[in-house]
Amino acid sequence: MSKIIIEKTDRTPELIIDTENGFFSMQYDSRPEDVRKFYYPILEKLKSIIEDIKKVGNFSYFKEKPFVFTFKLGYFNSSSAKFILDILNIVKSFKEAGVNVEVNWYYFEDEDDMKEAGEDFSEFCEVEFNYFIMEDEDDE
Amino acid sequence: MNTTSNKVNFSFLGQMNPEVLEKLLVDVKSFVENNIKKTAIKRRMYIVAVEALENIFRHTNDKLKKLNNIKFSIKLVDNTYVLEFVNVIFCKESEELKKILCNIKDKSKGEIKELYKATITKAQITPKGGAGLGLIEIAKVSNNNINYKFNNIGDDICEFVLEVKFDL
Repeated sequence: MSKIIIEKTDRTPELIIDTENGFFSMQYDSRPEDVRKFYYPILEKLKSIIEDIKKVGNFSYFKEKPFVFTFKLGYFNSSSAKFILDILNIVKSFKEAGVNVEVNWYYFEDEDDMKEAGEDFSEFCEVEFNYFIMEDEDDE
Repeated sequence: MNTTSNKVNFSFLGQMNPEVLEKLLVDVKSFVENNIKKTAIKRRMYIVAVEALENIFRHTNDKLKKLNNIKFSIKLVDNTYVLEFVNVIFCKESEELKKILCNIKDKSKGEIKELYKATITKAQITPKGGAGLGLIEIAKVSNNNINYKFNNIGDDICEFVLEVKFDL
């Protein structure tokens, strides 16, 4: 069990993976200089969590309380979009393993494109999302 | 009398490198924030600038880097913002680009989404960091309001001109 926090930069999002509390969060812009170097470790971490869950075979905690994936994204480039879909495909495998998952997608009220981006991702990975309007960029 | 206002609002001519790319994107962000009222158009214009300029940065052949003068401008023509990107490529590279652009051109919004879905679900990130989605993303956010041409400027080199329009 561990908690990973990656601080945001001008080009990379803030990322939090809190295994113990069943929480993943990604927010702000994503346009990494080396997109593979940034996202590969995150994908590996999420894959290792699902492997641990499968090995232990007892994840009642996440059955009762969902593993929450929160996305509060600003701008993300097309290469980042590919990795966001990779993350969501791992979310799908959490679900297929029996974990109760919840995906919360935030967007600003006047940014319908961002809501549409969430709807597209939801369709592509076949996982249902909840949609929320952000009040301001620091909204929790 | 039919008049046309054609005002260059933003222009750049020079060589592309990581520092120039960053500076340009900061300047474009600031330009759209200060000049465009509609949030959706601001965001879409910025997305187009990022994808097109990152494409130019990633895909410029090393042999052309020294002579590659990038031209990038944003013009307001009547009630339409026109983003134009010009870069030098080998003519043989234009064939691949033509293939991608022909596949995009004239597609409806729904067809672009299907193409985007088919591409993103199979995408492999190249060593240069591309996913093959840039031009599709540009078509997606501009409602496919794109034009392109290739101008021969030498025996084996040509200019790739990409124009993306946003009606205000």
